[in-house]
Amino acid sequence: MNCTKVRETIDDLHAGRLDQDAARAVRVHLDGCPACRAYETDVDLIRHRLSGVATPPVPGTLTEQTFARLRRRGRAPLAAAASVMLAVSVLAGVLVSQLTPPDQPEVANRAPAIEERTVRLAVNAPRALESVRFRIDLPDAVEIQGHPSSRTLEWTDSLAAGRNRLDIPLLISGEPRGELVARVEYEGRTRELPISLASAGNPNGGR
Amino acid sequence: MTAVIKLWKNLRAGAAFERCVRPHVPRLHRLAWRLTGSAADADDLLQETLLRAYPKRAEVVDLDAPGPWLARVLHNAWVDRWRRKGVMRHSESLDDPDVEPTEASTSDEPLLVAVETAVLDRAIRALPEHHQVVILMHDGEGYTLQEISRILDVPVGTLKSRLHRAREALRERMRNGTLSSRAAC
Repeated sequence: MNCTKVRETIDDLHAGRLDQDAARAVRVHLDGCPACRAYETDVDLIRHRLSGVATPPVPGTLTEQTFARLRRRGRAPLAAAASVMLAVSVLAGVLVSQLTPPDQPEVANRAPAIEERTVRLAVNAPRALESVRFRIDLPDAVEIQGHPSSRTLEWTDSLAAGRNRLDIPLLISGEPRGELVARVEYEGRTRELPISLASAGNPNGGR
Repeated sequence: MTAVIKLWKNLRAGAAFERCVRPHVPRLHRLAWRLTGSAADADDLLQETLLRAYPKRAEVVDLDAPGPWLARVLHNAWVDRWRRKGVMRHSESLDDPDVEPTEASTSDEPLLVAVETAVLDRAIRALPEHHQVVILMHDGEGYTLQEISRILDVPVGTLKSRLHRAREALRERMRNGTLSSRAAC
């Protein structure tokens, strides 16, 4: 193994990425080659110096301003979409025994007139379930963060046996009219839960 | 125990983008600072990176390791800036050090022991840009060569060679007392 090859391999040696034979060969070379040991020392110095440089911190407002800008960019006019109201129906033999509104809604204001709120649902499943369909219908003036133009969101997921938590991060613009309706469906069985968003501190809808 | 249904992931939400990207922001900012050498430029570059990445948020939140992906966006934004300014910091096409053999230095003594960090920084900035980038990412920010390979779209073997060359060049410049040579700016 020549000096150039050894020097190109030093990082792999330090990171433990060499197999035993290769590592041994590099070490043997280093033991007998002061020039490569000097190189190794310099590599350590470069790393130490560079990684130890005091870098300026991210300005406190930069990240928030950028993300706020992205949220505004992605936000479609809320009033343009029609509210979707679903009939409440509870079928016999439902798989979900409980859907509850949040214990502690998280509220934070990051943009004028836009309220961030997280609605937390608890979904109890009697056993582990696959291919569970989730659907959320939103009232006017409400969107799910990151889905500015969607009034209805549907997806499939699995549920663990017992309690499952679903956090729904919302952006509420003005006073929402109507209810958010969450629906969980499995094997033709459906459980729906309407949740009023009229008041940040007291959403109702547990059923 | 409560299982958490990852709505943000399953819906590939924009909110997921924030959650996914936020932990990487400090490192991206540091990388931006290392590349630009200016806090103000680093701020701009970070912001541009996030703006560029956001339209691909569905892709980002699906990644197991979004850090290198974001660093790639940042690096591309940085390169585009240089191109927009019409600045060529090195002539890679005319000087392809990756294929030139590097003579291993024969000095038996470490050459960088007494070098101050500021001097080392100047010496690095005097290197060809593709050498700067690999040494700043690897030795400065701790990206692995595999990660840098994904960021720069350059084979690991080439990067390994570049890194070695960059280090040897630094040592040689320290030995000669020359802190700048062919770099244009």
